Amino acid sequence: MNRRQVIYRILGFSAVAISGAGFWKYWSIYKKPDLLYLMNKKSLIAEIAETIIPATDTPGAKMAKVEDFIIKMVKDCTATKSQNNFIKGLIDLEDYTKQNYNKTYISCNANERESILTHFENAEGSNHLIRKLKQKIFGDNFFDMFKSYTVIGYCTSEQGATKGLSYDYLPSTFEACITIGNKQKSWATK
Amino acid sequence: MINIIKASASYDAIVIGSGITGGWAAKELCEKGLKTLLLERGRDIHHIKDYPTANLNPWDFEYRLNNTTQELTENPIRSRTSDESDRMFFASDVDHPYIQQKPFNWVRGYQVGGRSLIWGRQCYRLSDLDFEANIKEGISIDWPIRYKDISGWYDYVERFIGVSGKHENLPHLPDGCYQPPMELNCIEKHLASSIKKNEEHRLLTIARVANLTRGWNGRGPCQNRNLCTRGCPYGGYFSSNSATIPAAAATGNLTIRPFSIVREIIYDEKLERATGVRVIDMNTHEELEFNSRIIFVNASTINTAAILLNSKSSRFPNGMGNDSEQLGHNLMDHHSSSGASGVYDGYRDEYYKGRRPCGFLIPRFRNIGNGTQANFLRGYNFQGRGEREGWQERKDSLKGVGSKFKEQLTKPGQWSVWMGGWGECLPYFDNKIALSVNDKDKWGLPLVEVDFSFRENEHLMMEDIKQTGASMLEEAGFKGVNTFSYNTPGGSTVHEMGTARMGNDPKTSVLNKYNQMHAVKNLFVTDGSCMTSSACQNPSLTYMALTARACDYAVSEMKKGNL
Ligand SMILES: Cc1cc2nc3c(=O)[nH]c(=O)nc-3n(C[C@H](O)[C@H](O)[C@H](O)COP(=O)(O)OP(=O)(O)OC[C@H]3O[C@@H](n4cnc5c(N)ncnc54)[C@H](O)[C@@H]3O)c2cc1C
Ligand code: SF4
Repeated sequence: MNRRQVIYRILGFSAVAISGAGFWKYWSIYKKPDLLYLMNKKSLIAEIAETIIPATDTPGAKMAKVEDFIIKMVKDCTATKSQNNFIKGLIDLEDYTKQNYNKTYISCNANERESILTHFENAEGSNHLIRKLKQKIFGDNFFDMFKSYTVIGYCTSEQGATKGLSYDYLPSTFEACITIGNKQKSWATK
Repeated sequence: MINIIKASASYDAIVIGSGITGGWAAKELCEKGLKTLLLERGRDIHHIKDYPTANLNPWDFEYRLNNTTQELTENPIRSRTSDESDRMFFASDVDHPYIQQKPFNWVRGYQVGGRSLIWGRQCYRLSDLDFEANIKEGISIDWPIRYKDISGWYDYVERFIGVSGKHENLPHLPDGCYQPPMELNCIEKHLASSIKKNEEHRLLTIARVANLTRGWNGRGPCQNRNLCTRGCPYGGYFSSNSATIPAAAATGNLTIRPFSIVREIIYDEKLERATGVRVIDMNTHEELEFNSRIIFVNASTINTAAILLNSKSSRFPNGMGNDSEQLGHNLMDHHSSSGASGVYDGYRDEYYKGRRPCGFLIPRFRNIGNGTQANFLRGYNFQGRGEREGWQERKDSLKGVGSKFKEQLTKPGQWSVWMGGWGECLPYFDNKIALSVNDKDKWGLPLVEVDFSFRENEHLMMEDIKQTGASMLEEAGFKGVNTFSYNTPGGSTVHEMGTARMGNDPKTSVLNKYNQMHAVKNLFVTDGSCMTSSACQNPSLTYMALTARACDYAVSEMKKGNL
């Protein structure tokens, strides 16, 4: 089966999935997102981001105030479908935590938090092509979006760029090939 | 230094547009002693003072250089190539609508300096392979010039703007007057040596760019920040604002008038000359007239054709100088949407320091020398870059969360190379721009309609780019080699050209070999609209050389009393 056939098959599969999901699905992804809910979940967002990029010998997501950036991105830089996915994802994550750990995410310990996020990361399946196609149709998925915004927010923050990574404000010269040790951080900007 | 005038007045020369070519026209004409009026539709931009974002950090931007959904919907074209840091130098789609008969990305910079502030600075010469292609293949019409007519002007321009690059001694990509080249990094050197070993007629070299590796005419050197499109506080790259306009102003002969939208050029039937221009003040909407002995039109390919088409008279009912009916036709743009990428396992101890503001070039290798070597005409070059993957690439591919994830994310990733083919586009008569009959902009000017598509020759070339790019990477030991076709529409390479072509015969062309309008001798068009074919090299260096050459000719004709 060549690449194109694979794509057709997956498209067929998705078409079935959409028609099966019906109108409700349509409404739930295009409705006006409840952005107020998002604002109220700022501390949860901060904790999830910190689980993704924790403070170690360098600052973590919370110190970089990544939660503010994530909320800004969801509010102003995310399409409606994906905004709804994001909000729904947060609700799902809280439900899942309650059901499986019988407490809130914030009261979970570091290991529990990581397992919860790993569950959500794997929930979308590992087939890259299917994930991509689903995103095209239903919007970006919750966890991919969360992780991506966390990374962007962290790596472009002053804390993240200058302490978590290497930031070269004014390089002056270009050195084409330098030898590095395994402590070398990657450059924050290109 | 620069006086802004309010009333109408008379000049020796008028230059329309202050971008890459208009800046050159203004400099040359002023230096030759002509009182010159430079008309620019956008606002004034002073070098350094008006680069508000040039020294900002990523965290200084509200959205950290991401576009908002509002910006993406309101300005679908502008937002493709700009963000918070340089948006102020790209024209807004909302304020400046145009009609797309087929999708066409028209990327514009409406300010003093035009797109010289935001260009990619790649500077390559054309050669006789390019100038002779049309006549040899029976495509379109012959170029009225050959390499020898322009080579000295390339020297002249390169010496002023400052181009860094490496001599490679290729007949079809002539060497120029270069500053020391920038340097290839490990992976690029690796790919270069593999190409040299496996493909004796191909080579990979550092890009030739108008970024200064040495201080030059009071500018630079480049500090390797790779933030050029914000404007450079070091004057490290060539722009009209940093170089040509200050040189023009220094003569005392320049008057620059921003906010001046040229509506049309005035033709005097008795004198058989263009006598001046009509301008709409962008802010007051008031109409003004300016007169001059000669006029240079440098509003950039599409706008230049629009101004000429809008300049109607009983002598020129279909637009000024349009006896050949070629005006607005033969629109070309390079395609650059296909290519290949891959990653390389190795050189783990090697990295680079600094942000080199350019990549590499693999000069054209198809259909050169004797005989045809491909199932399409002409050719393409590869432009690309090698780097170690950073968080930008790996945010979506690295699995996991927590300290291990963070550790991996913040370490340099594997080496990767991305390269795209920049391909020649043939001139097709029905790729064109026209003026809308019904729709007008805020200033009452007819909207431009663009009707453009790539054809079979371009599509065949894109296929070859993918295959060839992938096999060069595979031969060099790259893994995960991927080919891509972004299928971006015309305009996306921002090398639009050809709408008022040069030629020997007034029946089939608009301009003669000196960029002088066949039918209106005191009118010169020296931006990309003059191009008879597109070659595959980034074109602005050629526009600049043709501009300097045309200015020299115009002034000598004036002196002889012919103009
Ligand atoms: C992101 C980007 C990367 C690029 N990279 C490269 C590269 O690497 N190498 C290369 O060779 N080229 C590159 N280009 C293309 C290059 O910018 C253009 O070829 C070049 O700027 C054309 O010069 P010009 O003088 O014709 O037009 P412009 O520089 O666009 O200037 C035209 C000027 O005319 C003004 N104007 C328009 N209409 C009117 C009117 N009616 N009245 C008064 N004024 C008017 C405009 O406001 C503008 O200031 C790039 C462009 C972009 C956007
Ligand atoms: S990379 Fe060089 S030319 Fe570009 S903005 Fe920085 S210093 Fe200026």
